[in-house]
Amino acid sequence: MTSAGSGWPPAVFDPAGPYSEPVTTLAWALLLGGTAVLLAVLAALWAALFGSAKLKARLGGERAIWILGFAFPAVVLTGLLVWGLMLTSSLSATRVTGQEMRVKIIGEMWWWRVHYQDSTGRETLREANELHIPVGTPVLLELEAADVIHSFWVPRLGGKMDMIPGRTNRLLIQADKPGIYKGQCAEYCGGPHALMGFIVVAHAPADFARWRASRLPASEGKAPGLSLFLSSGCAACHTIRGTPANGLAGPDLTHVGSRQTLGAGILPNNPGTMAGWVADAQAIKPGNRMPAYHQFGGEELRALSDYLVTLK
Amino acid sequence: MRSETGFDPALYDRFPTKGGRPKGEEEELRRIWCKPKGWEYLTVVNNNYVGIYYLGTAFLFFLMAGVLALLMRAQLAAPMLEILPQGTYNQVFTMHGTVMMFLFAVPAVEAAGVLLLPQMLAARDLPFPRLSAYAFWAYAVGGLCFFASIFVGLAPDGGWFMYPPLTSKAFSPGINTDFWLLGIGFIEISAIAGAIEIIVGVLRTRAPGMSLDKMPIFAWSMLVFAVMIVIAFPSIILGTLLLEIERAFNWPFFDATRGGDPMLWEHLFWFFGHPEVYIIFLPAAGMMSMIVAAVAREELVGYRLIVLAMLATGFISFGVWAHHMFATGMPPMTTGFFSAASMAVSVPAGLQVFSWIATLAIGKRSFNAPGLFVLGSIVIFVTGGLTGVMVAMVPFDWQAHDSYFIVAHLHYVLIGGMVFPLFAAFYYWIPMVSRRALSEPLAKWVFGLMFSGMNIAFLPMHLAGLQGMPRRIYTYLPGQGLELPNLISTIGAFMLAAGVLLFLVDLARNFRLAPGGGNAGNVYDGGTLEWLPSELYSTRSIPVVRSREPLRDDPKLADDVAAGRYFLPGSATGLRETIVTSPLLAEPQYLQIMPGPSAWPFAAAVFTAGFFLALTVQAYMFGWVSGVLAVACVLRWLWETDRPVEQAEVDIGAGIMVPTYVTGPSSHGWWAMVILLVVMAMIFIMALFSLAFLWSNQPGFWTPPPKIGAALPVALLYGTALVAALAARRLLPRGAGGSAGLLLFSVLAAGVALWLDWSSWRASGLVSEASGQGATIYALQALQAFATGTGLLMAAFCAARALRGLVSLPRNNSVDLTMLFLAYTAVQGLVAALFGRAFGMP
Amino acid sequence: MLAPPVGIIGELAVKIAGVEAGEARAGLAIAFAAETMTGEAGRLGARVAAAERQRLAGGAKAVVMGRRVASHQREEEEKGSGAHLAGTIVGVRWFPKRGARGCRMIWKGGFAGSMLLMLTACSPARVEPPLADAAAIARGKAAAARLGCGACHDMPGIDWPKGRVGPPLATFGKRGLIAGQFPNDLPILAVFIRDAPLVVPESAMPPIPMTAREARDIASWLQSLRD
Repeated sequence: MTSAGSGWPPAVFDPAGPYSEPVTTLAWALLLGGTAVLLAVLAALWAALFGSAKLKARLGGERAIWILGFAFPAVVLTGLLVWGLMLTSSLSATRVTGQEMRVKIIGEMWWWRVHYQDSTGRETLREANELHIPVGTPVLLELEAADVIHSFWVPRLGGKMDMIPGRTNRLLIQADKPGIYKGQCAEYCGGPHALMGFIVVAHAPADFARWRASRLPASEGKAPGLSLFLSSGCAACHTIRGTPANGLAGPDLTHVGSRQTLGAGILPNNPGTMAGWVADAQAIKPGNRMPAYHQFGGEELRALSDYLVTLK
Repeated sequence: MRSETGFDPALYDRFPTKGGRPKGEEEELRRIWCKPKGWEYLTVVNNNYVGIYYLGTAFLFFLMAGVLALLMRAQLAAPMLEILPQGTYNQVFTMHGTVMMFLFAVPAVEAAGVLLLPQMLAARDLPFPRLSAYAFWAYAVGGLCFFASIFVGLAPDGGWFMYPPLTSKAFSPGINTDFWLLGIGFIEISAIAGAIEIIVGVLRTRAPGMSLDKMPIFAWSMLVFAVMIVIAFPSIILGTLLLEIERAFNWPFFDATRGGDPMLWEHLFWFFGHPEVYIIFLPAAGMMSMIVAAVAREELVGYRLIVLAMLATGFISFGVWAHHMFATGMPPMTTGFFSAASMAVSVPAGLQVFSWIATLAIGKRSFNAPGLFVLGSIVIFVTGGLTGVMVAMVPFDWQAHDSYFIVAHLHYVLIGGMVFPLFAAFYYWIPMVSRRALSEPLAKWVFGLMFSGMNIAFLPMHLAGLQGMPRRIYTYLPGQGLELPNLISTIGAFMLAAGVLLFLVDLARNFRLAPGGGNAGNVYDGGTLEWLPSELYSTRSIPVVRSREPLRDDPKLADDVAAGRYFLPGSATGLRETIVTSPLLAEPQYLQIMPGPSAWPFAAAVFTAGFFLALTVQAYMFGWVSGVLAVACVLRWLWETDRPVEQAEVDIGAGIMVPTYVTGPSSHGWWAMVILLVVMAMIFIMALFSLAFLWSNQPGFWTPPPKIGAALPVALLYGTALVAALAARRLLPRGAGGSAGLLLFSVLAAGVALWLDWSSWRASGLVSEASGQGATIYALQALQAFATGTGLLMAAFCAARALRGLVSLPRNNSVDLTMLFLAYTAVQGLVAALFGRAFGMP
Repeated sequence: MLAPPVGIIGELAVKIAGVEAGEARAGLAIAFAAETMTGEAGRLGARVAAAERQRLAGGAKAVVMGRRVASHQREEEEKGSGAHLAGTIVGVRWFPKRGARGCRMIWKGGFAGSMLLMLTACSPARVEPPLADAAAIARGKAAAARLGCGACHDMPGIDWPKGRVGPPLATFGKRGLIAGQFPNDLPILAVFIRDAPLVVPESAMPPIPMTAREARDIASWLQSLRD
């Protein structure tokens, strides 16, 4: 698997699917074309200041203004407009074939609900902060917001789409290579908006099937961590399917141990970070909705984090 | 030569007059336009002072918002720094955007207009000097208090775009958001006041002979600017009003769970927000055109093209707002339209840029301070324009939107399109108001630091954006390759700041205000009228304008003007006065008597600011008292105005006689009132749009309105109000008392109509808190109630003047204007009653 | 190996001394503090304990612990010292919890051994152990950042996160004790980083999945934080 990326090449220039690739081509064309036009304008400016008298005379009339300032941009812009319109309609989620995998993603302050659906739109699985997809399959995302406006953006897989309360927006993404693709909320949503990340994990089809099959409810068991989880109020906000914990305010934790990150795409996930997050999430992501839990003793905290990381 | 008003253009040939002027004439002018002393600096209304105050305050806000920017750049210099805590950062970036847009950019260009326009048009002052003073003080007092909120951690933190529901009571319970909504409220009032002033000023107080095609390009740009404000600002006025009502009274305009829609705010905001960019850019482009011509020592190439381009920009810019919303899931047809318009708007900008290049090509090459900033501006602005074309492409915008690419783009456009031209303007026009020009050698350093700093700061941001860095983040995680671009940006930002600091040093060393004459003069050899020798009364006499650059074309002009050989060489009435000319050909129409210094505009402004700020901090009693006092101060200041002088006609030079008191459609007051009514109508239309928008987007929450037939008595009453208002003006020659009575009757009829309308909605069971429909219907009625209340004040004002015998017969401006307002009120009420019932009819 | 005979001596010493369990525990800190003072020689105490552990390795009560330690041992690169070290850890882990005689013996052994050392090895104090090589330090810092240790600890050079759950670790290299109990020694620290409850049972710090090498690297880095 390729990693989430080091920033180079820039994500927009490193497309990984058919919904980002044409935009990269467009971006290159615009960037190079724009640079060329800028250089041409600079050349004209240079000529206006230092050019020969003949050149200056040519530049210094209304004819030149009409040609350079009106005719040229009008032609170029018309061409660009046609390209843009065609690309817009081919990338829009208005063209849905029914073959897409469907996932509803709901933006919350400051994390993401991920509800997998079957082809009829029935919910089949609830996760959070991590979207698992098979490579080569278009994924139709239904984007909603629970509180304020958020925006879903995985630059390597596609453009962004706002999540607006009261509306459902649709976005198509697709990954052609297995890997982890970083995403982030792009619409300012207050507080720790900066730390509202997530990842898309693209699996080879067989791996994806395996991953999907492993999404069973947790067993009730007798783990001391579970009884602590239930008795300490965690269950008021979090769900662990297969246990009495059924809170809805926070992320579903049924498989939290298998996630790559904690705190919506910002921390690595291991028992240590889990304990740190549980005990004082405010120190890590100030302003998020999870309070600091200072009441746990050391062994309690450990039991809790041990339990949570085993939820795979 | 044809004539617009019946004025014989041949009369212009009498100027310059021969022979000397009577002794003491100039002294009298000086006495009438005297310098303020001590406390009088607070009550001045002369544009030479107010313009400087205004510009200075705007520049102060530029510096303070710039410091906020440096704080942000320090915080983002490396990942996960804690220089600014999260909450503070969110306040700082919100304030940076808000202050730069609302407290710096718009006021700065408006201030430049107040300062420069009367000089360029050779008017003694703008037509409503007290309104300028009021606009300035409301802005200065309110703006400074608003800015101070950041020192106590109460600054708004929802971004300068204030999207609900984040800014709703549920998610922003503190008063921070109210600071924004109410704070921006009076700045909007101030901007509208300035815009009315500028439109009337440009169209009605130009020097005789200065037909529209001879008007300096800056005046053209200010005209387009002011018209755009009048059309665009009502949208944000309504938006802030609705959002504040939602927060204070729980009316769900933007709450999707109750039939409101957050998208409504986005439309209202950006219908203002995008034209706002051109509102800022156009006057700066106008300055550029003036300075380019002066630097090249040639007449501007493509004057007509530039005027056309500015008009086109103004027009198209109202069709591009939704390009800020490409990622909101609009259908491809809609985004396609806005994409096309956004590209189209770049064409007029291209025309202007190549006009400047053409002017530079035929002119002399000089790299003086204004010249350098002009060149820098072209380079930066073109770069920003090209990235603008990139983001006008919808698929590319889906990637770039709300990323640092946009931050880079908008700073290139605004710094290249507004800040650099403003600095060029500082260098170019400071000799007009200061005893010494600024330092040329230092200017090279200032320019070098600012230009390179700007590029170092913002060029890497394009990259950061394409790497996936979203906007408005208080920090970023390490390991995404964002460290280097951000560090470079921070270094660049501090270089830019160093350039500005150096400029301040230059100001401190060389800027010595000389409003009463003795300024450094025409250092850069400009050809327009602001370079005529002037004192506080502006130019000694008002020249006849025969070309676009009269100073170049008539080398003797300056001497003749200073010797009083043109219009109005002295004071005709012993009062402050200026010539009002016709809008197209600038033929002299009448002599306007101008109000002098007064404490009332200042007091009214302080109380206006007090009203809004007290409401923000929930000191309601104090707020309402302030509000009442503000209204009282305005009425008191108006009480002194609209007084005909003894001489009905006066000689304004060379035996040309004009009246001193004019009423009806050719008076400047009538023009101002019509523009104000356009503002009110725009607010009202935006409210109607809100209703239609919610109806089409949230039909599930709609309840059937009362029957349209039941509105018949309402309609009849509004009709009565309209007729009564019109009759009041008609019947004025028969006596002021009856006329004032009719005006009051008109208000009464409109009030009863509103009450009937409101009752029928109440009876239909519609509740304002229950649904977006309820909220919007009652908001329309609140707007109507506001208009009716204002109308009542105006009618009562007329009645009081009638009782005191201050209403002139057979025509009177106060009665005229009240009539206009009441007629509008009746029509607005009627439309509101019918429109509300039309949506959702069974 | 030297350990078994020393262990026997230690056991004898304890028998002679007849120290009770509680006192032994209280003395532990002193003993280990003394170890840091006495430097390398202090290792003896650990070795004492290690010997005892090996003696008891088959004991039923040590099954769980043995498994854990064994897993450490398997991965330990430096097999020898690792084994001794693990022994120390076992002692610490078991003593306060269980009253098993064998375990008590270990402790008594360890304590007595230390006491002997205190009497016999009063060499000049060496406050700071030598720095590990720069590469290890750099690897350690990177590993700490990657694992998210900052979720609980404020660590110099790691901008984020700066957790407040655990103690800040600036100038950790100057710290005398780990968790207020054990000498700030590289091998002990490495085990503590990897499996804190093994050392301090009531610690809130969970065992964190990492290789022993990573643990050593992180320990090296932490010990290099001296200013």
